[in-house]
Amino acid sequence: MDEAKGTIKGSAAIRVASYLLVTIVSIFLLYANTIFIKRRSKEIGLFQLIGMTKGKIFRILSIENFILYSGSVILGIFGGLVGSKLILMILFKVTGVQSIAALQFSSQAVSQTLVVFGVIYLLIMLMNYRFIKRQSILSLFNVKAKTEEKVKKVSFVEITIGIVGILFIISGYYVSSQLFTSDFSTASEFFMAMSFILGSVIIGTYLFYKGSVSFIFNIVRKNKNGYLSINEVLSLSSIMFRMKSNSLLLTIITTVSALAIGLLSLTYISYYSAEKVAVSNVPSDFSLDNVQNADMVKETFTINHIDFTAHEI
Amino acid sequence: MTILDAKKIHKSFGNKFNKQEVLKGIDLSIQKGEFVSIMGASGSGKTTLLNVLSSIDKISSGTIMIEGKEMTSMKEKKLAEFRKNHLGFIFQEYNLLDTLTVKENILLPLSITKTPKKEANQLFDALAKELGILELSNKYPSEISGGQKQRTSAARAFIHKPSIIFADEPTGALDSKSATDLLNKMSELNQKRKATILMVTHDPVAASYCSRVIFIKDGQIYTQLMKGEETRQTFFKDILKTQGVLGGVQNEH
Ligand SMILES: Nc1ncnc2c1ncn2[C@@H]1O[C@H](COP(=O)(O)OP(=O)(O)OP(=O)(O)O)[C@@H](O)[C@H]1O
Ligand SMILES: [Mg+2]
Repeated sequence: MDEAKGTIKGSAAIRVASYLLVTIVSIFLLYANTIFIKRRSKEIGLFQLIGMTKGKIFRILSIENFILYSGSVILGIFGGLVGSKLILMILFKVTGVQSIAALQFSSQAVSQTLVVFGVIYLLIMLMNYRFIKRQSILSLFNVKAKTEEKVKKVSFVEITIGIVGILFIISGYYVSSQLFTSDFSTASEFFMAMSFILGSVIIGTYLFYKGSVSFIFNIVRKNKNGYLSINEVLSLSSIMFRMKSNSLLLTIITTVSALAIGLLSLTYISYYSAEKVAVSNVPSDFSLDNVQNADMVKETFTINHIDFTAHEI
Repeated sequence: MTILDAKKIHKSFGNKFNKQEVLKGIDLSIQKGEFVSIMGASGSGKTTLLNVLSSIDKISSGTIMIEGKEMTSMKEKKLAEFRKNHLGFIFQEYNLLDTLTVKENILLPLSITKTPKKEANQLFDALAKELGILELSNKYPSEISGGQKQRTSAARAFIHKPSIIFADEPTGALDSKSATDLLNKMSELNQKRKATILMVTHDPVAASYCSRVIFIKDGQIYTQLMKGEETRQTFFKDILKTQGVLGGVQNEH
């Protein structure tokens, strides 16, 4: 990674990736929280019914979340430390380096993690606060019924959304194909271009899941003309509506896997190209910068009967 | 002594342009120790009436007094305080917390009023024995039957000795034996503990356990029957007769 940081492209990529990671983690946590709180809406309603004030319920939820979050952050940091030491030990073993794997503790990384999670915690609290303040007891008891999305006809809007999604994805890929051929030279331009690629592909994926999936399935369904076999009932229609209502989650999953694959390719490319660069920079096995030394080496080779070719520059 | 006194209750749903008036001026008063049921066709506004009386929903206009306290103007905090001490609820779908045992569920209202543990345990033992769920104390809601769940839910409504208990179709999801069981227990508790109960029901059998039945039609009180000295059987026949008249009238539109 330190190697990759050195280059303009590498540093831009790492920056984009880390922003993206933070964004994804926050969206995921916030999304998970909306589901959790909806699941618990009946419980919240019941507590109000037996005489808890909204403020008290909010306080309880906050404490609960705090314990949960701080617990997982501490566990995560601890696990990360242990994990990094383990990986370092494996690395040393593999490369045969004789050294003791020191515990890598980056206080900067820890404080950044704490800040990120602190902000996410506050956001979640804000969401919970709004939810509790706004919902009446009656609506809390009915939340379940509402979350199951209404079954609607696939509309023109949806088709447009799907097409726009595909366009976004295509434009993202187009820019990415231009990335290494043309004129993005400064770091900030690179950063912009990469952010654009990621943004458009992610938004495109989201819109694609939101619109086109059910659009495509609907065409299939129309062809069946109302007669669905039991397998199709179980698969088609439910997949369709699940995809539509969970398009956010699917987008996250897609993006995370794409990111993982992308980073993997990036490391492979940089590893592979490092070898290539070395060969093209220093094609010979030995290169010596003064004639006496070169003669000495030549002599040694001839004495030991080793074939060699020499180039002088 | 009057526990609940409601005057000129109106309730509308929808917005300015698309208004649906569900309750059209209902007057109702309930005395201490009464066991009242509300009957009426589906969509006549029974649940809506129960919800506004029990402070779960807001009325459009009118006044509701419980134990002499005006409820309609209460703020959230006072309302919560009021519910804590004066109201109990039983629902058709039980609304028990799956993560708590039967005993914990029942003691929930007491843990909020911070009743001492010893006293809470005594109250629980007495009530659970009366409702026949003492041996279920440590089971979870997923491990007991519908009838047992509803008795648990009833125990939760009775435990803190509220001024009035609201029940929306408590027997709606039960088979007739469990329903009879529950109704017997409820009328026992009503008599022994002088608990006041207001119950919405479709079932004329359930209504026959009550001391008074109020019929609602199109958002207004149509008529009411008093049990008085009648036996349950004759009261049941009266209810059926009135229901027939109500149904007959209702078919006109
Ligand atoms: N939240 C709401 N928004 C709009 N209209 C509502 C709402 N709740 C109830 N209504 C309307 O009020 C009317 C009365 O509903 P309510 O639930 O009180 O009937 P009910 O007598 O309890 O019926 P049932 O016996 O089927 O339970 C119905 O016509 C219903 O459409
Ligand atoms: Mg109802």
